[in-house]
Amino acid sequence: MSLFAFLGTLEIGLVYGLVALGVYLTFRVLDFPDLTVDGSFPMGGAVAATAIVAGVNPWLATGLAVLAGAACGLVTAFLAVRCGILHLLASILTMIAAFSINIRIMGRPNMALLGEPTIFTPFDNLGWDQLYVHLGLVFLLVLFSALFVVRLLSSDFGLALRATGVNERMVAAQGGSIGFYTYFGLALSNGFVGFSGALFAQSNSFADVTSGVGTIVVGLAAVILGQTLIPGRRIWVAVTAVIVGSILYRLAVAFALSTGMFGMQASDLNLITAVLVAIALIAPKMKGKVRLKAVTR
Amino acid sequence: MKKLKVISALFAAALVIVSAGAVFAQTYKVAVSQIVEHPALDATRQGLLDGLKAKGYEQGKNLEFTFQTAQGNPAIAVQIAKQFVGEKPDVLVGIATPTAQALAASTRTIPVIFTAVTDPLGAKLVKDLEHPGGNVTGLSDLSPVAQHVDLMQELVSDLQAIGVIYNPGEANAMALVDLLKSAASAKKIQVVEGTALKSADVQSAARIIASKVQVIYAPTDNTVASAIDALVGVANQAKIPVVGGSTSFVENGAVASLGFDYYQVGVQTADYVEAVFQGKKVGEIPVTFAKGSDLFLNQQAADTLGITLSEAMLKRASSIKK
Amino acid sequence: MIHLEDIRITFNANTILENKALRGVSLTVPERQFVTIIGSNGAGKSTLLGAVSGETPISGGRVEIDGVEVTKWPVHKRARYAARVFQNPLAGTCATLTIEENMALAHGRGKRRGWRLALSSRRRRLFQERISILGLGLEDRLGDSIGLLSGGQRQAVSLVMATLSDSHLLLLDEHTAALDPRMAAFILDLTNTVVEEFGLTVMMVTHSMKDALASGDRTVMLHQGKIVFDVSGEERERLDVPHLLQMFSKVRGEELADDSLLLG
Ligand SMILES: Nc1ncnc2c1ncn2[C@@H]1O[C@H](COP(=O)(O)OP(=O)(O)OP(=O)(O)O)[C@@H](O)[C@H]1O
Ligand SMILES: [Mg+2]
Repeated sequence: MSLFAFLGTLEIGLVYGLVALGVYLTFRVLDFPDLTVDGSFPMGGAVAATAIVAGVNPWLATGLAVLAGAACGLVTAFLAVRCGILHLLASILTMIAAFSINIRIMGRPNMALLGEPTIFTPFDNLGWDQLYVHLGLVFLLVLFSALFVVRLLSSDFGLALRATGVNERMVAAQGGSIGFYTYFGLALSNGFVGFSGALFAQSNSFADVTSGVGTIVVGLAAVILGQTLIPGRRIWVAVTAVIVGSILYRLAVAFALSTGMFGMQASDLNLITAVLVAIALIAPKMKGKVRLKAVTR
Repeated sequence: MKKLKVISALFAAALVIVSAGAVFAQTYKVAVSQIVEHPALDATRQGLLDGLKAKGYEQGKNLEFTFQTAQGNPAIAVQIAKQFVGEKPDVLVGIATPTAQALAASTRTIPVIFTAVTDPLGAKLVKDLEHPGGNVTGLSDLSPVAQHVDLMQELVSDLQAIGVIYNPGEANAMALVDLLKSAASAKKIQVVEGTALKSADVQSAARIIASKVQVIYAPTDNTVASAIDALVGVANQAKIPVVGGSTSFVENGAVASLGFDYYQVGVQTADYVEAVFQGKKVGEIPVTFAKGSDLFLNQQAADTLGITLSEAMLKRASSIKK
Repeated sequence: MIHLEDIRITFNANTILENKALRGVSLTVPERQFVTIIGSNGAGKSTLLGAVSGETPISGGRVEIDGVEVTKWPVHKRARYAARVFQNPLAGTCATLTIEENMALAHGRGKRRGWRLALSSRRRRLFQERISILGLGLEDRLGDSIGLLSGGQRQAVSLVMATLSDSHLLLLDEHTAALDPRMAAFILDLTNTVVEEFGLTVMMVTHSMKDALASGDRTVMLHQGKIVFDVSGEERERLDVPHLLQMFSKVRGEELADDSLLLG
């Protein structure tokens, strides 16, 4: 793999690290299987691209994208908490609705940003290599997001959020409103996903409604891969793990794409992803079994 | 140990021979990124490969032709772009909109040729069709939609309503449907839309509109193209003809098609690639629209539906399926 | 103070499964009183505690805590007034969090949960101090996941957790039932100590007649969703277990007689 491809892969891995962070918050912290991300990711891109083309400051446009993503999360939370719809189904409903809304937002299924100002533009003219600049800026943004999540989950508020995913009855008995934490958690998660979508659109100069398909699988693969390779209960370990997982996932894809590698071809990608996630899911159980056998011997 | 030395000596000798060969005939590297695999886009790629061969650039001899498909996933398209740009080929070719955009966003120096992009201006691939300026140019496959409406009028007497099935998530298809609506409304013909987000939805979308229209128009939409058989099946049950934007649709049972042979689109793309090989500045090569909209007719399907193909039409056709 | 007025709770109303779990229960528990509640399975004891905590929505009646009507309040809002310990040790704690995190969670009961670090060194010292009362050596294991503790240890921690915020109401639903006899005795002792020390008002459900008489200062018996028996003071002093059992069977017998009369 060339240096260019490697750095580019790192960048995409980091951008999707924000998706992994969001999926970690819903699946792991809140124990809420949330497929909304397939809709909030392209929505982040759609909102950012539309706002930028309309002349809005790119940073402000990115902020709007975060809010749009969060709004998707709130809709799912509303359907689940207020209307009592099954979690998975509630998120699927939002995801499907988001597709139509995204086309409405952009007025078309694909919106290009080639030649438009983005959050990267001011740094592009400093004479540094564009690739490093993009990577550096994305790294910083992901770092701040990760620090924010770690700090949040260590706070009084975050503690209740974490407990919500494990023992709702106890949280209520300790004075925490399950509904409120669900709203907040889903909004936060999808806010990160919208952020990711906005960064993706600006870094790659286009927003496309089809870019949401399979976001949840990618996010889940990152979480599972990362947490299997870097196990640990501490919050900062888990947060680091899911972001590293996202980068590793993208590296795996890049290797699969490097033609001829193990005789694989591009159309094998879906299979590879599925196998990867399956292995990651089975691995911890196998480890336990091996250890058990060793003990009984 | 000795064995190892012999092997490495042989290897070194082989390297010398290979690189010596390269000095005599320069090898051109072309990297092709395609958004998804389906017949029309695959034909484009094959046409490109054959077109280059006809110009003397042959794979394995003086042409290195790499190809990847993104499985319809824009994030993968971006990764493919990064990988290709890192390999520093002589020309990058993007088949369909998102792949072309991903390539264009990844490099400002390596020439990018797009093809099978319906609306290059809307996709911001170029600022000006005549003078692209940057490192990007290519071939647009904008379908002659107005001609399609004429054709449908010719086929169905007293045409009142056209049905169209498309994927609202595809940039190409949306552009075509907008064109269709303006062309039809100019002739006071109603357009009934049916949307399908995935190819599995095409059949049910067609069923819903089939009873309300006199003809179904199948645009050059990737989703519809993948499910054209199902669409034709529904139309046959409803006893209405299908008119397509891609000539390959006739093979699948459409009564008439007016459009590009995507293989020929690929062959025309080869002109662009060759121009870059010859050192022409990409920014000075204008964007053109794919040429040669051929009329394909299907006598067999017309007979089944009881439609008479006029003499004039049969004369114009470049292919008639019996 | 807890004031319950004519509480009625019907599960699955208007279906064949309709079940009148409480049929008009009125009970006032003054400040610092310790009431023990007994009754056979299905008598409505848990349901009664649920009516106070808000976990079971009531079909009729009125609930007041410390003079505030809370009848329509959700569980988490009422939690600021009352701490609870459940029968199942798993229910009252969060298994994946550490002991100190569980304590921090309880520390925040009834307060606004904000951006402040859940575990400051000051809080850790407080937790260490409080948990050392147990004498179980848990003060050195604050960072352990609470899931690693035995059921008894978890109930002990739950009791400590109940005292970390400044409410003074404690609802206990058979909180020793899942424990072995020695551990049960330990937890009951601990309960009495804690109640004494913090001056708590308590409602405790138990199946042990002995415990019901030995702890607290008032005993209430529920039967088929009604209070059939309520003793305190001297009358209660004189009661012993056989006596109580006798009253218990008498109540049931009378009910049967009533029913047969109705049927006849
Ligand atoms: N959620 C519920 N839905 C339907 N019926 C319920 C529900 N909870 C309790 N009941 C019924 O209400 C009645 C009272 O139940 P409750 O749990 O209060 O009894 P209890 O006195 O606590 O009994 P135990 O000693 O077995 O704990 C029982 O008949 C029970 O089946
Ligand atoms: Mg009970």
